[in-house]
Amino acid sequence: MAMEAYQAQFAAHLPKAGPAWLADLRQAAAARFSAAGLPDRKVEEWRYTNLKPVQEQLFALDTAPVGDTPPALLQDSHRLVFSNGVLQGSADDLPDGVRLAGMAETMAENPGLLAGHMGKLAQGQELPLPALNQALSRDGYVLAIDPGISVSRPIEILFLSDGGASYPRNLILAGAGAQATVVEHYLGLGGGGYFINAVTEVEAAAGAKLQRYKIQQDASGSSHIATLAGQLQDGARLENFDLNLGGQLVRSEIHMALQGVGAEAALNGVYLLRGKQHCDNAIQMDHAVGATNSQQDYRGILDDHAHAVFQGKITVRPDAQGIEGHQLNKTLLLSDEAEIDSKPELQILADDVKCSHGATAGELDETGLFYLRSRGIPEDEARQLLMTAFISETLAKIDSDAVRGIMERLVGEWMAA
Amino acid sequence: MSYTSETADQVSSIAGDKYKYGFVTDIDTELAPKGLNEDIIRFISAKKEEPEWLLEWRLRAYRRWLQMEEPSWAKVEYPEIDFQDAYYYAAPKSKEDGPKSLDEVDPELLRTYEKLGIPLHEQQMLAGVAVDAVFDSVSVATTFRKELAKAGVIFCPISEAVREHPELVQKYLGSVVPYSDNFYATLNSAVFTDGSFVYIPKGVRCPMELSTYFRINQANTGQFERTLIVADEGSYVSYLEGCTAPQRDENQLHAAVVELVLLDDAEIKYSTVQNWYPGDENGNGGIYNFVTKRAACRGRNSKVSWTQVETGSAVTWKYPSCILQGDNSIGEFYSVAITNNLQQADTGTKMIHIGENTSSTIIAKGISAGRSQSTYRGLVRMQPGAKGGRNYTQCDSLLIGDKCGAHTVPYIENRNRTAQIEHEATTAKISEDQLFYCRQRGLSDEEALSMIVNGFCKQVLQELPMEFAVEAQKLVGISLEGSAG
Repeated sequence: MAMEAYQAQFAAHLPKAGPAWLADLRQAAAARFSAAGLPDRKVEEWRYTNLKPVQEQLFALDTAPVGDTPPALLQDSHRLVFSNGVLQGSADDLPDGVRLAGMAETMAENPGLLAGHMGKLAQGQELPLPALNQALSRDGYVLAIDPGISVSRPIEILFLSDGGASYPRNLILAGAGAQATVVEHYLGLGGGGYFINAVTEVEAAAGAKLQRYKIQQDASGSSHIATLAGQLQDGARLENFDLNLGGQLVRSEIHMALQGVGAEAALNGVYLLRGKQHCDNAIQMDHAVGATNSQQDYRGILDDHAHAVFQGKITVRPDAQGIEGHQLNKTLLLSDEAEIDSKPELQILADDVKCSHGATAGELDETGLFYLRSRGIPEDEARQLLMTAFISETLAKIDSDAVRGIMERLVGEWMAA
Repeated sequence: MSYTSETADQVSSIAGDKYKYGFVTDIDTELAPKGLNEDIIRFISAKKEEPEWLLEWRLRAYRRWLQMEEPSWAKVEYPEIDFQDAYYYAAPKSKEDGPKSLDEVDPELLRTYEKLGIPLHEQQMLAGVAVDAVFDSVSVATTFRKELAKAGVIFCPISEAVREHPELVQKYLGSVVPYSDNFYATLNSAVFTDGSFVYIPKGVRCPMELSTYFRINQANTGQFERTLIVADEGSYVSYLEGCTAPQRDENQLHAAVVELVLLDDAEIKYSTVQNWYPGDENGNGGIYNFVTKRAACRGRNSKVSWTQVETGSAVTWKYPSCILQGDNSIGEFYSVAITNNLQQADTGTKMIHIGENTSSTIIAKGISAGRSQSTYRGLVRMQPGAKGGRNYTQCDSLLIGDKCGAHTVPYIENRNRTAQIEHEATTAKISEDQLFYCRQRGLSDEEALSMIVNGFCKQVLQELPMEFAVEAQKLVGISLEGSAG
């Protein structure tokens, strides 16, 4: 079926109202996706991930809401719940200067808030999946924080899915000096077979401090593709953490631009895979100006036939002096059939830089195991201890105590399973 | 003036006259007509008196090449190459069929090699290095052949090997780099004109270092040499390769193929000092160095070691690789790549671990100065059967001046639980502290720079055979001349 036909099919469910520029944006994005199509493995950024399996899932519209909503992960949070991509209810008790609402609602009632921001960062010919999202997104969340406002309670967004294809479109606008913690939780019910293609755009003005944590527990048969596109101005800081546990075919893409002096990004993540799970973390870190810092630490454990991919690229633009950029990827292989493909890349066009990357791949350290066993710890327990220690080094980088606690619990559950 | 701004000024004032091999030898040359077609290939094949099978192989390669596209994934930029606007065969005219001994070699040619520091007269030779000198499309002289023959070692131009040892050539030619391998290797398979052939018999430790010296002299020619080294069971050879070309405003293409075959317990040490003309400070002229080098460790316990010092060429595209098929085989890659002015280098290695307990080491040092771009691109792959495989990779980049670029693109693929891969990379500039320390002790800026860079490269340079190591150290200094404040 041609793109037009799918658009027509989705059109019935897209937010009706909205200004002309929004319709134009959708139309242009649809044209971009039609022209580019799904990237195949000949495209360098996709050489390790085959999107063929999702081809059939892209346009399977499912509007039925999911059943019961599980309890929140965090206590005392502002919470939004999406059911197969559509917002249910609303957030309450929001402090002054903070707007947290559904994207569909914002498009209809307050499109001015989105103008000039939506589609600004997740753009371009090389991003056909965000284009498809732009064309077909029905809903998502918008978080806009006025300058100087600090949101004391965490914000929790639950994306609950059990069928169809959904295209969550999210936007975070943090004013100068604003602060917030956002948890995006993707949770699947049932066996899966559904498709998610999410986009989150983040703009942090000077001095803003954002923590964004993503916990992905989609159903075992589902496909999950997510793109985070961010831009940080002078002195802004973003901490992003990606915990990937679920899904059959997962791609988590990050495009981060350090646009202002003193901007800093810490992009970390953990992937724990078994069965035939495939998880691809693709990160582009762009040091657009001097005196900016970035760190990446991604670790994972692979069992059975799992396949993980890490592609991290640090770019330092010409004349962007005084840069520090570090990148680390470590993977443990537990089975003979698991595979890790790692491509940590540096592209440096300025000279006053300190950039490094490191990557390791292999099985558990035999000497560590021997040490523990020689002290009377059974082998299984020793293995778990070592694996936990391995992952903990990355988890320790999470600033929020509450979120770190949740992630530690989830990691522990994975190990015990 | 601060170090950095001085550097920029100095770099911009570097003149091409730093390249001391830029002269042209005036010598009578026989050229095939310009351009590339099946007739040219037949002409080359006939000139070399090749058997039918080789001509067929060349033609198959040519037909395949016509359907191929030039690769564009490397981080190098250059104007489109007109493959029809070059000579594919250039040979110094010899009065008779060819020199039978050095006395018959054109004295002008001998003088050329003397200027290059490669005296071909045996009595003037550094003890213990046998040289095969390749001038444009043909090998003009090979020294120490008798001594080598005593040990059973075959070292001769590949065109001669085709005639004298067809069974060996037919068995191994194209077995490591098939004619359909990649755009440049396929072109080479179609039009290669000469190169060296080495066969080390079972259990023989080659009594001396072998060396090939490549020289492009004729204008508008491409050089397409093909080197094949076969190390039979339990043998050892150390092989050196050096290259230079005259200073010209137009670009010249050099697309070589090197194939190494190692059987059980064999070892090959392959060293390159690549100093093709790099072009002038504005990026005019220089050699396009598009080379395919690959070693197949077929036997158990075989070991191959690539060491390269890449200082020349306008554009370098080169990935000496190791296929570690035999159990316990070892691959090593030591590389220094220095780029200055507008040079571009995209180089690295591939380590394909197939057999059990195979191990590989990669040490790559990139130094960028001027407005140059240097890229390390490498692949380490552990196949499912590479039980106990080990890899250690370290690639460091040093930036001199703020207009150059250094890039690192490693691919790490592990499909075996018991295999361990470690990769480290850093990028930084020469620190002011180090420079200050050296200057404070009375070294000039240039000496300080050369010393620091040589220290940065030491891990690699010490892998070179002694004679080459000295030359390489000097070359490091020369290549960076004018980069210091």
